[in-house]
Amino acid sequence: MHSSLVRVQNVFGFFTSVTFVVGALIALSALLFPTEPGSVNIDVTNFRVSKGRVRQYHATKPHELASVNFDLEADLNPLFNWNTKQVFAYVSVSYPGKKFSENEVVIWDRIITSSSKAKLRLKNQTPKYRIHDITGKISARENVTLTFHWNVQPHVGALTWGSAAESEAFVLPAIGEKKPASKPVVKKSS
Amino acid sequence: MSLLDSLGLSELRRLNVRQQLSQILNFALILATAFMLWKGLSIATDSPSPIVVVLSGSMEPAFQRGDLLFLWNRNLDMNKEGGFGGTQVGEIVVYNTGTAIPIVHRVVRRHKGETTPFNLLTKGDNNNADDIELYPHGQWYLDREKEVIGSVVGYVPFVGYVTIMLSEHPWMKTALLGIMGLLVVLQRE
Repeated sequence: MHSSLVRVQNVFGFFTSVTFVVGALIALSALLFPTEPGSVNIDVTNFRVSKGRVRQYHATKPHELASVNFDLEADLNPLFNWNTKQVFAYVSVSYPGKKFSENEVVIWDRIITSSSKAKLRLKNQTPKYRIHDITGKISARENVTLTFHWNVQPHVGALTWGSAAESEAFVLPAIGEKKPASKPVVKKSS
Repeated sequence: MSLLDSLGLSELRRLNVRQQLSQILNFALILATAFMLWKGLSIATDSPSPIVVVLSGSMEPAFQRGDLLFLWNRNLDMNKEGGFGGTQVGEIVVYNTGTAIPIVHRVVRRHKGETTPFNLLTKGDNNNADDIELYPHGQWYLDREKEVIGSVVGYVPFVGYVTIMLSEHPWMKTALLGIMGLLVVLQRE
């Protein structure tokens, strides 16, 4: 009855149950104390639409690509608790359209793995990714907004998402036209 | 009979046929229960594969090889509380475009219309380029309804590594199944 195999089995069984319970407690405690970031501010500083060939799209004609620069100030320090493995911070651009009524495109992201790097202060940041619309046309698009989002990746448990600080709606310029940073064209959404 | 003795399985001889049959029934019951749990979870999450194991490092440091992911496919809007707006950018989806293994990557673009398919573009956090190269030739976007099998909502590290070991060393699978079967048959209760 008390052979070494049985002992090993018992020890392993006990180890897995303890690990499971501790993991479940960590995951639950993180859910019970939800976190919100500090102040978040986002602003469009500059935008431009140009024509270019997109490598992947095997396109015969050039596509329109939009590039939106922005200011961002965010304090993500409060998002780091005992169960935070990383925070994925990202900025998206959303705009309406005729055939595709809802469009959202990520233009910038950053993986933050420690709370010491969680204070974001970006000035006239150039986007990591340019906007390429599914229809190929993006110039003179109205009602465009920028939104800052974050995704908290836990060590164990549920992933959580949040967003804040939508910018004012603006109009993307026509091709080649460059709007000065100080005067973004603001169009109120109806 | 001497073979059984040398293998240390002489106990098998002492069980009568009736006992042996009931042991086999027990084993079948365990298999059926596991299968029912899996299918039940599949119905609850509306996903053909509600739990997946991460196979590549393309989402590091969020997910490493062997991590276990729990999926939800009822097209909830994970970004907004209580919303039903469908998959948003920043969500991590698992998709299958007919390749051998499903891929776990983050949504970076979404284009949705009234009459069009719900188009998504994905990218691995650890990759430099988006996933167009991974889609079938000539396809630029994923179809949310047809190709995505779920969004990641829960995470448990490392637990799935055993399945990677089993699939990379097939003899372990045979050995494990054999040992489990023998243990169940030999249990006397």
